[in-house]
This record gives sequence, C-alpha cells and structure tokens, in this order.
Amino acid sequence: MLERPRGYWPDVFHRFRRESIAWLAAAVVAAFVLAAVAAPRIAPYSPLKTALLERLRPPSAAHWLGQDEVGRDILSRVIFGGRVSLAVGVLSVALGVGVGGLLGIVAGFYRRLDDPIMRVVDIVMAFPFILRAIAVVAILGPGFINLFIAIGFGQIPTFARLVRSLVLGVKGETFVEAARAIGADDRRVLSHHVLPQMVAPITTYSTLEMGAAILGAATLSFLGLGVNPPTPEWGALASAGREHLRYAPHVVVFPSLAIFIAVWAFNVLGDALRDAMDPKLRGR
Amino acid sequence: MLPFVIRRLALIVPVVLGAMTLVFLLVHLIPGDAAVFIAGERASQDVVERIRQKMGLDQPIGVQYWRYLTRLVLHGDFGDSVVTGTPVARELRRAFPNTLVLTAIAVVWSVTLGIVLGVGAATSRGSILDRGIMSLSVFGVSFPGFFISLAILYVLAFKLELFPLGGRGPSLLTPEGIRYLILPAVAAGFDMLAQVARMTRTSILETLGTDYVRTARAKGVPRRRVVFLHALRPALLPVITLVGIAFARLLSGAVVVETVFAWPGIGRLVVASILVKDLPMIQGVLLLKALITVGMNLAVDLTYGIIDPRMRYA
Repeated sequence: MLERPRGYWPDVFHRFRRESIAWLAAAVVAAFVLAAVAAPRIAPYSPLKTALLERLRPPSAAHWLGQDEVGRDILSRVIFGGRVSLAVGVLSVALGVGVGGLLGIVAGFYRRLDDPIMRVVDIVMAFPFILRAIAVVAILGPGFINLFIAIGFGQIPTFARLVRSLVLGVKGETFVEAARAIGADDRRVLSHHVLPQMVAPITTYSTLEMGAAILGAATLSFLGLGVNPPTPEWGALASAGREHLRYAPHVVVFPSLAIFIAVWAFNVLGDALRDAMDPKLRGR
Repeated sequence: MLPFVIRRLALIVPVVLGAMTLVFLLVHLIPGDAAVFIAGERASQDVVERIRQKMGLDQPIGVQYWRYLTRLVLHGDFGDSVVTGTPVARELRRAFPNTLVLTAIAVVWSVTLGIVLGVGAATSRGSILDRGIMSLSVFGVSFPGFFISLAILYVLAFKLELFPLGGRGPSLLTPEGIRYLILPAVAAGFDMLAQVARMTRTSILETLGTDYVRTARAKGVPRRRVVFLHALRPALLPVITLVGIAFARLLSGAVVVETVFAWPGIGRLVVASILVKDLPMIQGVLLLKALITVGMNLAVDLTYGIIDPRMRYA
C-alpha cells in the first residue's frame, strides 16, 4: 500500500527516528550541552580550587574522576572544560559556515568571481586543516578567542567548496530556470530557490564539522597553542596530565574520553542526519 | 601522457606562488609591529630596531616581497632564525629526514595492513572481522590523536618497558635507531589504518557488484582469483587518493606524534618555533609543508593518470 506523502521534513524525521544509534548520539550531545550550560550547578567542586596535599589522587568516592597535578577535581574540570570545547566548536563552525558559505554562494552564483575566489581557496587548501589553524595561532598567539578564530578559519575553505558545489548544482535545475522565466531576479532566486536547498546539507556538514572542530581545538590546546592555563579545556587538561602519565594516567584518560564521546556523538549524529536527509547516500 | 604531465605541472605554478605569498604575508598579518612581536613587549627600542633591520622590515613591502621571492627561488634561502641565528634551510634539512623516515614507515605498515583488513572485511561481510573493523574505524576517527600516542607510550614504554620513551637514536636505520622509531611510527599510522581498511572495504564491495565480476564468476573463475585479480586493482583507486592525502598530512605534520615522542622532525619544529615566536622558522616550516602537500596532490593525480588513462583527458 502506498504511504501518504508527508513532505520533506516530516520524512526526514521519520527516517531519523528509525535509527536507535542516532538517538543515542543525539542524547549524548544534548547531555553535553546541558552539562556545559549548567556547569556551575552540577560540578561538585570549583574547577580552579587546588588542594596541594591531594595531588594526582586516583578516582575516589569524593572525587569520581580523581584529582589533577595540583589537586583540582577532574570531574569538575571536565564539566567546565566542556563549556570551552563546545563554545569553540559552535563559534568556529559558525565562522566557517558564515564566511565559507558567503564565499561559496558568491563563487557559485557569479561566474566572474568564481575563478579568483576558488583559486585562493585552492591555495589555502595547500595547507592541511591543522596547519591552517596553527598558522593563525602563530600570528595571533594562544587564547580562547584566537583558538576559535584559528579553527573557524581552518574550516572556511571546506564550507566554501561545499556551498559552491551546491549552488552550481541548484542553479542548473529546471525550477530555477522556471523562476527566471517568470522574471525572478538574483535576490529572489537566491533567497527563495537556492538557499532552502542548502539547509539540509549544511546542517549535516556543520554537525560533522563540530566533531572536527572540537578535536582540532583539543589538539591545539594539547600542543600548548590553545587556551591559556588555568582555563579548563579538554585538550589542555590532557596535556597537563602528560608529565604525570606514568603514575597518574587518569589525569590524561578522563578528559580524552570526554573528547572522544563528544566527537563520536557529533560524527554519528552527522552521519544519521545525512542518511535521513539524503537517503541516496546511505551507507557510503 | 606527456601533455597531461605538462598541463598538471602548469596548474601547480600559481598554487606554489600563492602559498609563497601567503607565507610571506604572515609577517604582515600580525596585529601590531612584527619586530615588537618577536622581541617581546618589554624589549628595548634598540633590540626591536635590530630585529627590524635584520628581517628587512624597515624596507618598503614591495622590496621585501621581491627580496623574499628571489632569495627563496634562486638560492633556496628561507632566511635566518631570529632566536638562534642559524639559517632556516639548515634546520629544515636537519629535521625533514626524521619526519620522512617516520612517515614512510607509518604509511607502509598501516596501508599494507589496512588493505589486508579491508579485503578481509569485504569478503566476509557481516562477520566478526567485518563488524570489528567497521566499528574500529568509527572509533578511530573520533579519538584524539594525542590519546592514541599517549596510550601507546603508557603501555609499551612505561608498563612493559619494551621501547625508549622518546627522542631519536644516534642514527635512524640501525637496529638501535629503529627501537626509537617503532612507537612513533605505530602511533602515526594508527588513524590511517582505520581509514584505509574502511575505504578498501567499501571500494571492493562496490567492484564486487559490477557486471564484469559477475561474468568472471559465471564463467568459473575461482572466487579468490576474482577478488585479487578482478576486484582489487580498480578498487584501489580511491585508496590511492586517501594514501596520498594521508601521506601529505603526516609528512607535513605528525605534529602531535612528534611532540609526544620528542621526535625531532618538522612537526615539533613548528610548535617549538611558535612558542618562542621564531617567525622566519615558522614561515619556513609552513612553506615546506605546503610544498609537500602540493607535491603529493600532484603525485596522486599523476598516479591516477597512469592507472586510469581516461583521467588524462579530464
């Protein structure tokens, strides 16, 4: 029997709902976001309060994830660290989508500007992602704002390419030709016909890139090129534990696990969204 | 083939020139005065002026650019480190072989094993091996690289004490030197292993579904022969792209691995240079890395051209 047509978004929701792993990932992401927002309420201790007599203590009833090299509570630091890591993720992906998307739209829509813009993107792409970010940190110095600019800058070319190819694809569709034929100008074609087509793929890629951004930010912080101490950030937490790895591996393990779980959740969620929004790509 | 090679070579000229320009502009993108940036806020006017002169920052930007380009292209001169005063080119020549050897070993083991595992997974679809590899590859891309390195360090160097903690042996490829190489090479190859295995699996499954494979099976060619002779070769095309990208990425910065294992390659060099604000050194390493990436992309394209003649006309 034929199903009653539901429309695109209800359809997406329906396909998404069937994936149990996607629900798990969505729940994990929601939990991380909640923990980050409510950090001062749920963290058992202050993330900055030191206890020098209790250095590097392993997990215990009072400190579930143990204590770090100056006796700070690791669980609290991981919870507060989530604020920094998620904020860097959201802000840098926003920067990447905003600037990269704009460049992509201009390049895809206006033939004359396509070549110059994409040439520059090609040149920037000659530097791998983490190097693009490192180059930005090299000239701006470490710090929270610079970290998000560095990661966001690293993602601009990816989104520029994605959006450009989407625009080029939509531009050739007959419905755009039809809109042109009844007199739609550039602005109308863009806002009514091109942009709505890009919501789904950009959502998918943004989710996937959130994982990449969190991982990138953690890597930079791990190298000492991210946030300044004593700001808790997952990569920085793991980096601080490096020197005590032999006797206190828990200082490295728990922040790393937090990174892994968050990145995994964003990756799985992104994959599930892609499958739900574009069933043709399923299983690739 | 020759016109294809020439056309591809011509295409990279503007990219290389652009990368050189970007790296040159790095100094001028620093907010504020680059000489003060290097000398530090508290340095005396005298020191700042000396650095300004030494780096040629007192010249008009056009003159600086021209001088930078001619030195670089004609003499391979990357300038001098502002911290130690040694030529950047010499430091790069010292560090690069270490990165090259590390990368080569990492790529060889991980690609070989990755292809074997990928073929294994594809030919036994749904088995424990298949599911294990697929979930491992999902985990592999989500784990922070430094955690893998630290875990390997913890287990094999701290607990089992099988390998040295880090650094480079007195020489690279003697039995003693190799002991130092193994851990960083294992760590560096890790995420590539998962990716290659996954890509090989997908790619082989695709070719196994094609008509010519069915024909071969139908006329009685044994399954093993079909997998290795008919399916594997075309299936490796996307894997080659992946390997090229991964090779370039590793060469240009096994930054994390080199930092964790104190391996004196160019990845560690760039991080150390950023921490001491050694601009000419940073510029040198970044440019070298960009050139490596461009070179690897070229190599991948040319390999495509050799394997699949249709590519030469694309």
